[in-house]
Amino acid sequence: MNLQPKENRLVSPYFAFYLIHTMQVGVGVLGFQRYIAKSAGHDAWMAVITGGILIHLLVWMSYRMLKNSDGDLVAVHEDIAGKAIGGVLSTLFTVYSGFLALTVLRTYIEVIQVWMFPHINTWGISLILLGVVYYFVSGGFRIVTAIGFFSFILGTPLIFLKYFAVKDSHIYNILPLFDHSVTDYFVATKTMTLNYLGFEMLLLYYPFIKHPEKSEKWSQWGVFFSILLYLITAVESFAYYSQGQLKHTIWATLTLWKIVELPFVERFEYIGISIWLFVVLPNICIAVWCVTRGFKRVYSIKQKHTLIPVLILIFAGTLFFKDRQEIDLLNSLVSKAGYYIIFFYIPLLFVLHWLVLKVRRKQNA
Amino acid sequence: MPKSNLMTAAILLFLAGCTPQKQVLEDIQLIGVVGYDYVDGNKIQATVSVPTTEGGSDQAVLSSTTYSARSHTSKNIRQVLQAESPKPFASGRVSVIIFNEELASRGITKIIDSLQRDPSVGRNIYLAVAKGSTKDMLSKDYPVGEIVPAYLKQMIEQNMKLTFPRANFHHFNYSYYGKGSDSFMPLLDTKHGHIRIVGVALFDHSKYVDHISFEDSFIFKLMYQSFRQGSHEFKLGKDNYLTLENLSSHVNYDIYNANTNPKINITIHVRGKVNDAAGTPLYQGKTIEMIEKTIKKQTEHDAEKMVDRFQKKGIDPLGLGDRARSSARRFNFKEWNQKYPNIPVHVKANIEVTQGGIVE
Repeated sequence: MNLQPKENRLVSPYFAFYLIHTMQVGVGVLGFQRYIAKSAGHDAWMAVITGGILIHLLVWMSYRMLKNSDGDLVAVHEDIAGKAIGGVLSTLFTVYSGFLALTVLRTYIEVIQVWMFPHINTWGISLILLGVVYYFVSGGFRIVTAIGFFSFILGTPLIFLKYFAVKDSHIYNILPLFDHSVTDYFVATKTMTLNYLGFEMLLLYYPFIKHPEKSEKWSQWGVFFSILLYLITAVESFAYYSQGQLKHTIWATLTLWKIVELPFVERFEYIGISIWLFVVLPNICIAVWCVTRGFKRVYSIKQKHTLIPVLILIFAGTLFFKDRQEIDLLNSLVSKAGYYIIFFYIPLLFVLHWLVLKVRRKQNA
Repeated sequence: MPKSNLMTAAILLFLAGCTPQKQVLEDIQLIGVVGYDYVDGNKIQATVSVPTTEGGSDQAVLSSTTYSARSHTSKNIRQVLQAESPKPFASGRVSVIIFNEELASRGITKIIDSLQRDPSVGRNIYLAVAKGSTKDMLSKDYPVGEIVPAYLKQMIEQNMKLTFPRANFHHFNYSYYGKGSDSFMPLLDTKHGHIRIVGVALFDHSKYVDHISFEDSFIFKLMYQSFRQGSHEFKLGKDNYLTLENLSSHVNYDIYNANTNPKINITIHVRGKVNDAAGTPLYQGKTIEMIEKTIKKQTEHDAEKMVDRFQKKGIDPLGLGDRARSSARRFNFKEWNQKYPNIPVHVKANIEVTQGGIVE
């Protein structure tokens, strides 16, 4: 088994910034505001910061773990639980990655259906998008990374659209500070961390970064930039909407784009949604790539051979979830899984791995 | 490889059938204005104004035409309207929505709910209340060199830059779904062959309950937002009037004890110039001082009277509740609403007259 991929498959350390950041910004940004505001109201923007700090910490843990195992999550699993049980755990994580891709894809298709083309069939658009995903993922990890880079270039300027909402905003809306109980902040922080999900894919693509130990600072910058983006979005949304209005708005970011007034386009949100394809595309690509990589590491199947079956399964999945309730259910299930993975599983692995290595070092000595 | 090319070609061929419904600009009717009228019980009448072109591409004449229909729900009206239209309607360019007075005073919840769900309706569109039937208003021709949708939109837009407070569909939703403020919109009327804004229509949640005159909208705007334009007439003495042109105004709210024993101070700073004061010597420092004092007194008096009126009616177009909420922790809207009519509100105006035109 080749643990270390060939050098011509690797990407430079600074690409970790794009990989981490684009994976964290996806369909969540379009409507996370009302979920975090549900518990902490106008104070919920603070949860964006506290949640982000936790993610910084988790990224730090992941790097410690990966550095010591000199491989990826599959290697860590083997270190701790042996080949058989470790393989099962790795398979579970891989399946989770697949569900992550499915959730992003299905939610984006829902946005297209609700906002742009109510008559469009799920299977049609799903097939087209998965075709594109196949094209990129079959190109290898470098291509997937490049898509992440382009996503950053295309998606980030959309943050300037907030400017149009400023004249209709009341900044006093986010006052008074600290108007909620500690439990409220905790719940909002928990909800917020779900939007930061996706960075844990690092556990699988880590060996594909050249001099991976040098990429840590770039990963942390990626997380930092995500926090900044979410923070600006949250503060502006809270100033723009009243809390009651936010409760009714499913896609607060998209609805905010409705105020944009440009001489050459009346309804800017349509353009925004189209550009957003490039923001969600790398999410799907990276997750799908991680699925095939996971299977390769555990079962030694070539990535080429698992790609098509994985895409077919995701395609079937998009047809399975039909309406708002079901899609919401899918989102909350995957979020819950992600929550346990990042807050219980990663710290647990971190501690166990540290102990195992310590014991082993003693035995060797 | 040829095999996979064949596959790609086949997929593309099959997918060609599932392109979403195309909308070519020439083949649809873009609704510009919608007017809603009260009919009876739960029936409403909608009138849409649509730009049309006649003639070839060289000498095309732009005009607007109206369609109206009655039904119980606003989405069904669309269906009924469609029955007499040559092309399908599209609501992506609706710029003004008008409710007639009677409908507005009975509440516009249903229509607002339907509009706000529709992804193709924007947020920077204007809502307005019309005296009389909106159907009559929209189906008339006005000699203003603009078709009705453009006329209405531009008229409201430029007035909101001047003396009329800023209000659009987003603002309405803000107050409608939020606590602590009530909405307002322009009140329109047809007079002397033109449409004009005659006042500010004030809402209590979803119901139109009161209005203030267009002349008073300047005072209202001074309290509602900071802005840089507009002008207002003040009485200087007996048979002596002057006009203050606003260069920049700034408003500040101080709310004390929002939870227990609320007290509100509104401070307005206005920097303006006086151009039109026939007979008053504007070059003397003394006169300027006198003018400033008079304007200050009148502004404070009118503003306090206006707020008092809002409080008596139990409406809050200035968003005092919303501002009070931001000033205190653990704010209780229930208690606030009970206290609201009796909260002492003081308005303090600082007037600074800086210019008097190009002659002394």
